[in-house]
Amino acid sequence: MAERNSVLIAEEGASDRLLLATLLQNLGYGVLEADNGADALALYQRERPALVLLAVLMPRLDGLEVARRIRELTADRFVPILFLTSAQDPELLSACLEAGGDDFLTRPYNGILLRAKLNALRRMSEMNQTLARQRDEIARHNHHLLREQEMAKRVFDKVAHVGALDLPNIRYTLSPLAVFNGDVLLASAGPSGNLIVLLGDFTGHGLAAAIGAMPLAQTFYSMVAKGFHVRDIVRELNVKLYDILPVGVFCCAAAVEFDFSENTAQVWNGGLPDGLLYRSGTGACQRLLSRHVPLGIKPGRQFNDTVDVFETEPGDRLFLWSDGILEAANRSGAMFGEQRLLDIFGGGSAPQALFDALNGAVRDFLGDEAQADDLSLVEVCVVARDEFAGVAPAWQEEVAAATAGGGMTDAHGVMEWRLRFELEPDSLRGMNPLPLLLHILMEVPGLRSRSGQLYTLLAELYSNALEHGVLGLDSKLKESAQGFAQYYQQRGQALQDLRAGCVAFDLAYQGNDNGGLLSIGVTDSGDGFDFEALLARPLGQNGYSGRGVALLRKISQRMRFIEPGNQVCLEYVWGQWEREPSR
Amino acid sequence: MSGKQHLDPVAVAELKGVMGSDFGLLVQTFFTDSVQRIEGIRAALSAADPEALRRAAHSFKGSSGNMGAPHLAELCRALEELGRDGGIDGGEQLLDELAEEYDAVRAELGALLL
Amino acid sequence: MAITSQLSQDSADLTIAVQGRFDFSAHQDFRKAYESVAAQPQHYRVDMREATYLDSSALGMLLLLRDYAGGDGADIAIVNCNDDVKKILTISNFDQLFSIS
Repeated sequence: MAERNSVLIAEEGASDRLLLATLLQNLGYGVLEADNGADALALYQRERPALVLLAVLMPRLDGLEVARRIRELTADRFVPILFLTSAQDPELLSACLEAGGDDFLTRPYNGILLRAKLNALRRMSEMNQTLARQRDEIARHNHHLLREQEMAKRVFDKVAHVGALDLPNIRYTLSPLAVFNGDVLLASAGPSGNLIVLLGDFTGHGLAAAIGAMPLAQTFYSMVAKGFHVRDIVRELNVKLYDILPVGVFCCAAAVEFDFSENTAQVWNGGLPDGLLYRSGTGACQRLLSRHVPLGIKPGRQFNDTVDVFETEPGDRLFLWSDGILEAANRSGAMFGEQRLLDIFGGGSAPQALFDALNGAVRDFLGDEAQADDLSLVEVCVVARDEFAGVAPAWQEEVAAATAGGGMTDAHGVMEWRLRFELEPDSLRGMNPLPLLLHILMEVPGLRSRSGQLYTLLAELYSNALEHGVLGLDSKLKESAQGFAQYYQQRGQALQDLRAGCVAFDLAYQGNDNGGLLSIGVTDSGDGFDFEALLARPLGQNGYSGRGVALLRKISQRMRFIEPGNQVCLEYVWGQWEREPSR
Repeated sequence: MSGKQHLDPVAVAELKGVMGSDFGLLVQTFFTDSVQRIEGIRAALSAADPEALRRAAHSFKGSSGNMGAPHLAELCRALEELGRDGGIDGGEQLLDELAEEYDAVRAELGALLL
Repeated sequence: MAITSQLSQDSADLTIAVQGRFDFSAHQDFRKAYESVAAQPQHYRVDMREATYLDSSALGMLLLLRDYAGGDGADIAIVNCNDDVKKILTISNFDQLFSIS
């Protein structure tokens, strides 16, 4: 409808109109004519000419008003307006420009000047159209990017929501746009009742950061559920990120594994600001130092998974934060900084108030509520094992079920299988067999909701076979205060030095949809021990690696040792299962 | 009165160039327009309406300028100024001069059409 | 933010100096500083004397340089670091990848 080459002439005088019309037709324009302002406006609305020539004085509606209205109607297009006037009065001329005029045409009308002016206006008009086109294109791209980001966020939420961040002993502040700031917070409990928390900070923003977060979360949850520990997990995460992320993109991260029965916290920190372990007893703080290069930088063979081990007590609180807190800047450009953070811990707040005090201090410093949400901070409170176990299991089983493979879900009739798994010194040194064995057991639908108990059985049997049977360590060391570090140091050394030795698992399963029986046997290459004396002791006494025989006997059935004591068997029954007569 | 140039030959030549074969049409349109305009000035003076006088004189000034009739345009300008200053005294006098000048211009333009 | 570079006479040493904020806006210039050198220097120095600030994208740029210069075999020294810059490099334990002073 908009004529590229049409001009509207609004002028009362017939001879002037005729002259202009002829001039413009000679220049190749189509001409529309009006002799008063009202008709001019109506004609403009109907025909949408590319150019308008307006006299100032006209009957019905004067030129200035026509110009104003045309500008109102045509906000998105550039329509040049030329006023026809010989006036010299600066006030009148300004008024014309302010009403929307772009230039003037003075009498006597000159064809050459008119053509030059129209060309200049056409150049402006074309530039304007180009700008509008580019603006629209940018808007489209922007829209597209936003759609992509929303989708990425939805996918990420699906992956990340299988987590334990809602456990009562965890509190956190996380920006609603965290994933797009590159911040990731993951928490999950494993089948042995441990809790692993990871705070990550990817370089970059937007989709680049979100892309790394997804494999990170999937790997993390999958491994924790299978019973892997923090050192193996960070090692695997590093390899994954090293493969996926381009050079120069990495993830600063700290991962902490809590064992609420051994009362330890193992910390791996690569690139996050030092965290803090607050001792409820003394009010003292220990720093969780960043010792490592962030994830995704070093190839697997150079990766260092060394952790700092801290002894903990229920009531202790562990804090991690990303550098967003330290770098939060107020209006005058000052940064919050580490000192302010440390001051809060030394400030005499009650332990349970520290988390809120931290948030409050940042908010006060920034003086701007909205920005104060844009940081990542997590607090984990150390609790007694029973307290934790009470909350975690139900959720844990959900996770185990969710992360288990398809397996034999359609088994009908009786399922029966046997498996022997032997570990020689190199495997004893280099791998943790429990996740693998558990994974296999999880293929049995009936066992899926029992992963916690099964893991406990396997872990207990394995650690005894390895540490006492093969390595010959004395568990009494673990009972003393300094003992722990020493024990693990000895264990590490003995494992390093191991030249001969073996632990073997014998698993056999029989079952159907309603029940089943799993036999577990573990044999080690050691000399055995006086198991009869052990079994003769009243239940509840420590002496057999921490939780001891009592626990094993509670969970399983028909537990027995075989001479000389380096072989142990037990049975685990679920549902309704008729045992065959003993062989 | 004779010896004065009523038409500017350069301007007229340009008009001819622009209008080509429509030059006659332009001249005729000018004649029709002008009669109305002069009437408008006369009426404004009779009604003693300076604003109306200003507007009518302004328009006529424009079209006369376009047609290459400088003295005619000048007389219109004088009448326009009179109206702007709010008076009408001396307007009748100017109008007579205007009418006379117009007659001369019309004659000269008419001659060009032959 | 300004990046300048200087290649030694024998083309064995390339020094890249960073002035002002070493952040994402330095990306193109920093890269050009080492990529546009025809020879392959054996030693690189990143001079931080006039650098005021370093963010994670700068760390990424250093990693890119390291990768370009041969990865594990690269000889890159980051020198004249002020306390703030050193702190940032230390938190990420970049002294395991670069020589820092």
